[in-house]
Amino acid sequence: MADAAGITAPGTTVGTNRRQRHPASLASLVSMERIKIMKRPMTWITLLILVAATMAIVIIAYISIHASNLTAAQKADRIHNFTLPTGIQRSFEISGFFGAVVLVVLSASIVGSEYSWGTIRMMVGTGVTRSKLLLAKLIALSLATIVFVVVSAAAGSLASLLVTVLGGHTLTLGTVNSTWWGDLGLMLVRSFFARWVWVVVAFAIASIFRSVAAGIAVGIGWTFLEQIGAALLGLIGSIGDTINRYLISTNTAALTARNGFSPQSVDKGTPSSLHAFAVLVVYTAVLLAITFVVFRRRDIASGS
Amino acid sequence: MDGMVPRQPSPNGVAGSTPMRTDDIGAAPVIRARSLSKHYGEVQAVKDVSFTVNTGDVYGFLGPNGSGKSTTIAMMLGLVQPTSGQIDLFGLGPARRSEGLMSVGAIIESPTFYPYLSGRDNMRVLARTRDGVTDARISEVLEIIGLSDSGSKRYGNYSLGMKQRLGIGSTLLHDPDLLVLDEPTNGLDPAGMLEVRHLIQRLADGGKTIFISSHLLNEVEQVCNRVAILSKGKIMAEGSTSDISRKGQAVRVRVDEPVRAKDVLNKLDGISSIDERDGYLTISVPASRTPELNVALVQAGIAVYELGPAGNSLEHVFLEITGASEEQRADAHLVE
Repeated sequence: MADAAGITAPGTTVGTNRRQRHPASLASLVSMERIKIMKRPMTWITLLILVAATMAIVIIAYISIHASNLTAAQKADRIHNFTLPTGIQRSFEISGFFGAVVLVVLSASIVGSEYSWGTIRMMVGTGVTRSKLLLAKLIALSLATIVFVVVSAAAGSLASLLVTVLGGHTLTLGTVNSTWWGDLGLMLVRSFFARWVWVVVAFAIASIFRSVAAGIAVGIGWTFLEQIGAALLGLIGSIGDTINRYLISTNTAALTARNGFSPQSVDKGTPSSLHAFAVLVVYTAVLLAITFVVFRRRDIASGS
Repeated sequence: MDGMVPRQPSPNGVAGSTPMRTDDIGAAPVIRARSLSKHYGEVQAVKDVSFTVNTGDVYGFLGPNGSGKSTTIAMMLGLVQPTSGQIDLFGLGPARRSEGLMSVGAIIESPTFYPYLSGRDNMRVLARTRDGVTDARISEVLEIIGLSDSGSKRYGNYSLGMKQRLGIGSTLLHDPDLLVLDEPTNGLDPAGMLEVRHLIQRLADGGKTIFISSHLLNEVEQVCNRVAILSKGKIMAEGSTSDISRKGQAVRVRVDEPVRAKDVLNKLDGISSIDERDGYLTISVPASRTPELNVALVQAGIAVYELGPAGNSLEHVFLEITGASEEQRADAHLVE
């Protein structure tokens, strides 16, 4: 080790046996989490998988329809879903499923590996309050979610542009006016929120159980169990229907079903946007409240 | 160790070589633990532990594995809630723990960093938790710990020694007033251990208060001015290193008739114990009484082949207090 000249940096002593120091701002902690997320190879791998899957589905769907034995009218009707401008709306839809899965994996990994690597001890031992640490992580993950939504939708739209141009279809974005931009903005917000709920589920479970595997298993498994549950509940009549209206997947689907460049018709019985938003807010609020309380009170005796 | 002399405590517990800041006078202790206990179900990890660390102290926290050292440190750093009692940092109680920890740099058990980040990026991440740590300071610290050339290498590819160095470096980033180092020389080769000891000494000379948990008694004896010895969650001895070492002074002798020699020596006043191992007798007695022992043995017609201080006296106290087994004692001698 080098000579320790400069071991002591200048500081202000404040009448006690220590110098006054200020706690890190929330912005600084979010920046810290941003470094961790952006430098993590898994972030880029999951984003790449999402982009590739979204683009591949648009292109493969187009080619499949084109090569099918459908009539020209049927083909034109279906191809319309994957060419611009409808392709943009379809890109949000396609990337929605994969997006939720990869974001669950990313969220659970980012939270859970703090325990498996033992870095949680280092972080809590710095004196930053636990709530602030957790909040910074949640904000950073939320920002990552926005990036994933935008990039995957852009990738799907790019694939849509490719099939539109290469397929010799008329290239148009429709009537690009304030309504068009408003609809695009709403699609982004709805898609973000629908995926963010699953990010919160994975975040909460990985944090409460201090485990990457638990976060991923519950985050992904919850979706499937709800879908199976919803199908079964549908068979038992009105009580089942009522319960179904309060499941996460029902309400995320209710939000994204309204994505489009014009008012979209939704199935009868689909919860309203307000209902869906309120139910999802309650789920996330409860999960986050439990997570923050558990994390604040927990003993961190060892890394995990 | 290069002429390094154990720091001697001044009457107020501050090492004599440490420059004291004028505004430290009358300040609260840096660490004050009061009746600290921690239970995990039926297991009592820490029992009624009380100690005080003053400004400028290099405080050694000794104990075998499972004695409660790391749990005490975890309570100090707010990682674990005490079952009862409390621990104050800079006079700030648990309600202001975060404020106190702003002035603390700590490594707990083994250093833990993000394996996919470089050493420098790990420092950058940690710097974000502190106010005012610049990139220049990160470079400066990497230079101090000798990792300037490997700062861009992934932490996951670091050797154990490099990880330990980075851990020590991370505690220096924000120039804390208190350093808490849990086994700081783990994984280091002898040269690295020596460097860490020098670094600790320089930090102490620069006015830092240092709390070291270690099982390397020789290391603690050389750098610490005060020590506490833990066993089974309780502090068994606490005080200045010199006072505790004095209690543990012993003389080692090799003779032709150990059994008879033991009888002869047992008849002398002030000898609390005589251990026999590997043909040597270790007599718990101040080294100043060596000539008296020699005379007694020679007068009894016993041939004395070797006679001298029994080495590390702190180790002797530690082993007596913690009731170490013969195997552990043998290991301790190997460590020394």
